[in-house]
Amino acid sequence: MSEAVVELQSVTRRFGAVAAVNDVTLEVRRGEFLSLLGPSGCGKTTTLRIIAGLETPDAGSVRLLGGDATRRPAWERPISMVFQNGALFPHLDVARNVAFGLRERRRPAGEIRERVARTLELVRLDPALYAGRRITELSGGQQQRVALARALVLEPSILLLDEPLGALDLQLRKAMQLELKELNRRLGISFVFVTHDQEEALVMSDRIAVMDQGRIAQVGTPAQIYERPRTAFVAGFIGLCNIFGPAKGAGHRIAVRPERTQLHAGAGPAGSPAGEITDVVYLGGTIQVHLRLDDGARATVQLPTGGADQAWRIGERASLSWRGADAAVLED
Amino acid sequence: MSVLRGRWLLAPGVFWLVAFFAIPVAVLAGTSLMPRGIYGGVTAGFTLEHYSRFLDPLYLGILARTLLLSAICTAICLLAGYPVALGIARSGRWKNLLLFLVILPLWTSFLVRTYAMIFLLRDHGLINETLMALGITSAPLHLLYTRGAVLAGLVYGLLPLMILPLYTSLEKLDPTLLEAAEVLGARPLSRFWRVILPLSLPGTIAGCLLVFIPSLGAFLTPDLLGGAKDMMIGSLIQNQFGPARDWPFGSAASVVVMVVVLVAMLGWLRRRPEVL
Repeated sequence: MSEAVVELQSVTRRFGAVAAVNDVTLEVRRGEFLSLLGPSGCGKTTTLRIIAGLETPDAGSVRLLGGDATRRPAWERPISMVFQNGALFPHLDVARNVAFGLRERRRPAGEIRERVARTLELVRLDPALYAGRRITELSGGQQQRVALARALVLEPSILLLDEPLGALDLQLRKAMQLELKELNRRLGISFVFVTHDQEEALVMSDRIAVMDQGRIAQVGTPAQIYERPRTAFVAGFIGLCNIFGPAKGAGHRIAVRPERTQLHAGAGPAGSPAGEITDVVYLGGTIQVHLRLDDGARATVQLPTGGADQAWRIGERASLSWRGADAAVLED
Repeated sequence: MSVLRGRWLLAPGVFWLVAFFAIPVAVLAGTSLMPRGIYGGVTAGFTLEHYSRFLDPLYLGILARTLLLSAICTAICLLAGYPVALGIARSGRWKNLLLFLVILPLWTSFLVRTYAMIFLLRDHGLINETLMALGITSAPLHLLYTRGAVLAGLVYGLLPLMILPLYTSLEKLDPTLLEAAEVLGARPLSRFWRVILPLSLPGTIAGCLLVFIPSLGAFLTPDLLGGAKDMMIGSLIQNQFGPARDWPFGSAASVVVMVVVLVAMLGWLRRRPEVL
């Protein structure tokens, strides 16, 4: 299962003086759901385009299914892609959009018809209803389903998705997240999914590659990324995180999640960070207590509601502690 | 209120078209059905004789030749203009300069540009002098006053009208669509046939109409570059209203050309309603 279908080796792509992708080494394993996560401009889309063959790296190599593909044109790669806005052909109806790649491969008409219908059903569009529709008659969600069908009908080894859910409303987005995850499991195709939404990445991915300024900051399972962030950037980008300055003697900062941080009224044991409560936010399932620590840093503690052991008030002093196992030592 | 406003916005254009297009066309159609006056103009009465006169092989031949020449002119403009339009649409920051250069000839009078063609094409014009100076030919080629010269002049004059609408539709073509086609397995040529060409169809049709219709009615270029041998329908009509003083026959010929163009266009557009 751990066989690599995509291997990027020290890949760099410059636009002018800026390295959009800077010395990226990354592996996509057979059948896995890998997310490229990062803020806009971090190089995640360029990385995806390099895998697709829409960008050529200035340095480094791309291997697909074990063979070198660094200079192989996009149309000869075992890859399909779903674009951010769908990129459906406006002059073709739904069935012809889905059939586009099969026509390119000169498949017989009967086979095309059969595979198009089967794939439309796979993405939950009734072929009898939708095959003849014009693209402009479809909603945003339906357009993305057609884009997905157009990519999946080719039975690619690798499916690239460039923020395909970005334009959808929250409800539909959540439903599609689970559907995509299910398709990935069922079809055994490797998915590489670009997103800037950390929650989306956590929900869907087998592994997440967090990118920052053209480089890969960390690759790991959602749990590893969330609980053991290696840099302050990763810790801060995925959810809320408290970062505490180097303890005496130790040279590194540590990161502790708000829900793993304990809050004590008044001063705690010697050396534990203390400060003043600046805000208390009730979130239903949890309460968030925000503090300004004595060293000027800010921290957040997330407590379950219903405990009612303590009413926290703005302006009161409090101190923080955590279990050693809940603290991640940062490398930077 | 907004409907009312929308209607009023149409008013100036509608007025112009009614005053200077619909009324003259009606007058033209009426004239074509009336007997000819002795000193030009018409006399009262009704007759179809001008139309039956047009059925003479001489005039039908002129019409056929004009249609053929206009079709060839349109085809050359399309083949020459498409790569230019595509090139400009992809030229990035040079776009505006290149477009300006395409439009530049339209700033000078069509007459002046046609005379300039004469200086190029005549027996001791620039082309022949150059060819002879280079020793490629020993005697001047007969270029001027040929059908080729008319065609060259028409293409030269009308090419910008092909390039501009083509450019407009190619420019707004979303490049992501080409990338999508590429990832789906389409090679460059296939991307052209299956994505670029169909999506630029509205511009192609607009460009073809903008070239075909003026070339059909052209009389200046055929007169100046073609000499008197091969008359085109535009020259024929102009003659009837000028030296020949046969307004009804000129009107009938105009109506025939208009009907031919309209029928051809409607037939074509009915098969491709989506371009409108």
